[in-house]
Amino acid sequence: MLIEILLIIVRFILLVTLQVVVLDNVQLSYFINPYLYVLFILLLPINMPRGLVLIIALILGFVVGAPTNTSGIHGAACVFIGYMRPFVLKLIAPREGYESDAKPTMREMGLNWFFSYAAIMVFLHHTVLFFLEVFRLSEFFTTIMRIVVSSLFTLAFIMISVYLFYKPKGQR
Amino acid sequence: MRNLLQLLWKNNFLILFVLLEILCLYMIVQNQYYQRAVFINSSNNVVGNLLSKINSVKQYLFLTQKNTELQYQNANLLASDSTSKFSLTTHKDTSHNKDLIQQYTYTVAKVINNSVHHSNNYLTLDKGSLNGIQRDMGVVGPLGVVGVVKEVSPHFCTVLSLLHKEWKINGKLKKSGEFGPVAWNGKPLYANLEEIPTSARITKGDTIVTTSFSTIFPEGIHLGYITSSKIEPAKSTLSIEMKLATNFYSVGEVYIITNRLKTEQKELEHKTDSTHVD
Repeated sequence: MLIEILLIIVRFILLVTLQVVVLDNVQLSYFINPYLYVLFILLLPINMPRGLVLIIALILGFVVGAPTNTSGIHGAACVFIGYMRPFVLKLIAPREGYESDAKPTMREMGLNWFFSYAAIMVFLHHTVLFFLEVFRLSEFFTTIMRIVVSSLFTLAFIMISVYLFYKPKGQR
Repeated sequence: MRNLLQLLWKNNFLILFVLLEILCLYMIVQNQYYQRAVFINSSNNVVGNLLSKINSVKQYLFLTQKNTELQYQNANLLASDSTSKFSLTTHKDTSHNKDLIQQYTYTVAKVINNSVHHSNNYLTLDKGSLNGIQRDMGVVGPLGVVGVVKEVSPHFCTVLSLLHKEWKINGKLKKSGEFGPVAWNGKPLYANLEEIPTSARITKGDTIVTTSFSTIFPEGIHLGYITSSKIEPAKSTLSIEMKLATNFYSVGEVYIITNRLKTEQKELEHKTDSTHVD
């Protein structure tokens, strides 16, 4: 249990640092802003109290947004996917349901499950994020374009990082 | 009452969600309308220090380009120096220089954080109130206008970049003097100059500079160069698109402009305004 908490904290520091120091500075184009840090919310344990997930998501959003003065926007997007997470999990639950201590990782749940989970969550997050950032509907289609392209890039980054730390089942 | 409490308790997840979202939206609105980061912003010391560390690494990547820009500016300064001018008069005019007083002074600052791809972009500089920086001072780079100072902390200040939808500045055609508001059009490195009469004669590549109406910038600082223009049918004026003079992707060394006569001018204008009788 203690190791679990420690792992979560390490993951938090690692992802936030990577996002703020590297990814935020790699501005590929107006359309491409990968937000890898979303992975942190994806990997929180399934049985974690839902209120706690919301609070952690808020803190994560505030910290990531602080250097670019966008704490509110990132906070709102993170809290939103924190709220949607239980519903998404229910939507794509395996037929026999989750085990009580299941972790939402590729190792435990398989590639297909993890990919659809990540895709839905990233898309929800980016939708809220980009619309709040633009704060108007006049550029609706440009914004949709940004959401789709950036989601694809974030998803690619997520899958790459998950594969980097992937250990097949049975190996501890 | 008990039922109500029970209902609240049953929906506590939803209620917490709504409360947190309201908090976030409140922060966004504060940021949008007053451009003020309420709890955390990058003039905050901790973040500022981290950013200046990141930046010291980033600077190496653009050294060559920085050098070229500074050389360009040096060349301009050398050209305007009195030693590079040829006097046509045969007798010396000694009283001339005493008639000039210094109106604008420049403080060198380094950009330690910068964004280009957001809908509203800001820069953070490493000079603050301890260096005499105040709100609404102009910021220029070697190649042209960068932005205007918004928030100031003891060691840092944040700058509304030209790439910010809420910020407008007057610009004029350097050749003929027609002026109008300049506003960012959403594309990085491009902006629009509006409300120019159709009679204005423009060609591609013409320079657009700051006007003398602003108390923020001296007259004649480069804003951009014309790339295209079209007629606004509704208002029968020209809308001109320009490429901005400053390359916001690599802005590094900037100057914060202090206008020493600003208070005097503002006070006078204020007085005129309040004593005016129709």
